[in-house]
Amino acid sequence: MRVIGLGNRMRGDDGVGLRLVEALAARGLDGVEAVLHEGADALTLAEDLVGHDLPSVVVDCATLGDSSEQAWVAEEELRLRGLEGSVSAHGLGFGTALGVARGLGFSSPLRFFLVAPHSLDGDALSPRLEARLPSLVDRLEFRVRGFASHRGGGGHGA
Amino acid sequence: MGAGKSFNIKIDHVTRVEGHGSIRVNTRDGKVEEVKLAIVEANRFFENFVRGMLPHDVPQTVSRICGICCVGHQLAATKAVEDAQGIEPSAQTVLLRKALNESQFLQSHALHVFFLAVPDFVGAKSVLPLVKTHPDVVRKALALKKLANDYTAVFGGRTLHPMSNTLKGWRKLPDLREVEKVRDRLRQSLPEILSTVAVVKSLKLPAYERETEYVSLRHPDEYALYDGEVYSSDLKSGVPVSEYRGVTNEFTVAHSTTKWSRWHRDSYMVGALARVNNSFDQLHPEARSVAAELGLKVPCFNPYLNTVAQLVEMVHCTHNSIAMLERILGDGLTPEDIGYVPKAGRGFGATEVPRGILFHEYAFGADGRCTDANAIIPTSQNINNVEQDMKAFVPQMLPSMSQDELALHMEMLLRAYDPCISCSVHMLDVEFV
Repeated sequence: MRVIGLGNRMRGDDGVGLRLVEALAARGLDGVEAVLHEGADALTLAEDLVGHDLPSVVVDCATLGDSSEQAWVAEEELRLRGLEGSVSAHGLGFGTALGVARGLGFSSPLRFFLVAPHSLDGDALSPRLEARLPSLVDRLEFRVRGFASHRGGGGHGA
Repeated sequence: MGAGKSFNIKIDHVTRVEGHGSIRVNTRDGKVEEVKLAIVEANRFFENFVRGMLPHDVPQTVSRICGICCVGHQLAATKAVEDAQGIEPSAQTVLLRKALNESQFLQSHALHVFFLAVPDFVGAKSVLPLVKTHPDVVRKALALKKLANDYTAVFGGRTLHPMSNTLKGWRKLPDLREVEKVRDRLRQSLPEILSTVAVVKSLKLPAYERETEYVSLRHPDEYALYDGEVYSSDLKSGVPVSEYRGVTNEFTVAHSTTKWSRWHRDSYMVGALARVNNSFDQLHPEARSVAAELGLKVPCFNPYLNTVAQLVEMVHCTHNSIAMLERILGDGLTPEDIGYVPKAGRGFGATEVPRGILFHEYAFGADGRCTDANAIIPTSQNINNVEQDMKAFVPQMLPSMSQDELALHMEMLLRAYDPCISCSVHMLDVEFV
């Protein structure tokens, strides 16, 4: 399976997806390929998913719309919670890009590990998110292992 | 004509464009009362906060005006800053910049043609229906976009806000092994691009024309995308880039936070159609063949065909990029001294970006720091022309269209220009008294 980090290190907490996947990769989980798409648009992700039809976890920063600081969401829930519209690729929404991937044959399960930002300023994570990074990596590893073995689970929080 | 039709069209957020624009069309009893394209994006203030920066920091900063047009802003700014600093780049550096520039054309045009514009012409609200009806075309478009992104990354160091280009040259030269791979992939992509021509040919494009002034760079030796004079289809000649303010003649309108432009007429058009109109004979022969096959004959006054012009340019840029990369592979690359001493000066730079001609101007004081900046983006130059098109076309469309059809055609018209609205919003000149 693949764990795909999205984000932009030049926009504060928007780099958290990249940092988490880098940290996860350093733990050397068997059978898990870590992929980074820095500054990439949604279509880049779509092309990547189509090209590698494997169960995937996408790790990214996202405004979650409630007081949650982190969420583990299935693709259907992403649409229901209206989160897929938050990423723009020159007018092309994330949800459309996922639809393109599915339409072109990406058939594997997909999950999202989303982290709410505290600040999008600067070229480093906010102090608050930086402090939480180790526990977030633990949570991500827990989710990835669970996903790999059970291919299930959704909902937000831990 | 259109008797009795009273429409109130209010599209608050046009979809499948970058940024936010609103369209208002009001008709009463068949008479057009109002047609407005309102831009409500906030000012970007880049021209303000680059003041105080050293010359080499300016291009890297202003490339962040936009994530789509970042290469164009960086190159136009680099040219302007070098002009101000009296720096003449080497032939190697110019060639590398041209390659970097054309990588963004391929990326941007692939995105716009296949994912943003084509859905309009098959009656779809998004690209998703095309995934079912034309999966091969969408697959090829995705692959083309990835190739273009990788092309940018090889030359620029990364896809978004490339870092390799700087004043006088390259911080880190491209790896020639990677250049060779990109060259090979570009060769393989040509048949793929050409195979999409049949699909585009089958589209029913609206047939509305309004002659306007077409403005683009023009160069005696090549299809101008990087260098040239500012050419007008009305003048049939060009003016130096340093005289760009006399081209754009920016002015404000109440319903738009972006300034408008005009030159010899009430408005002018920039972008792919303007370039193709002005420099058709300099396109690669295969690009000219594609234009002929798609019914694009110059001069073309139908703005909906801007999308077709973009596909023509994709063919041209692919051929041209292959030729440039082969030159680079043949000549090799030599590390260059990129040291310089900041000094006072004022400079001008222009380059074509996918949406049209982009102007940058910078001034530096005795301490070598930026004192003044100005950037005029192609979309802001086009917005006036889009509204003039709308005003001309609505009376023609009114007799035969329902309100929904008319609204859709107005959205399609704006989308055909491939606007980048966010980066078009220009600092208003404010004088405190």
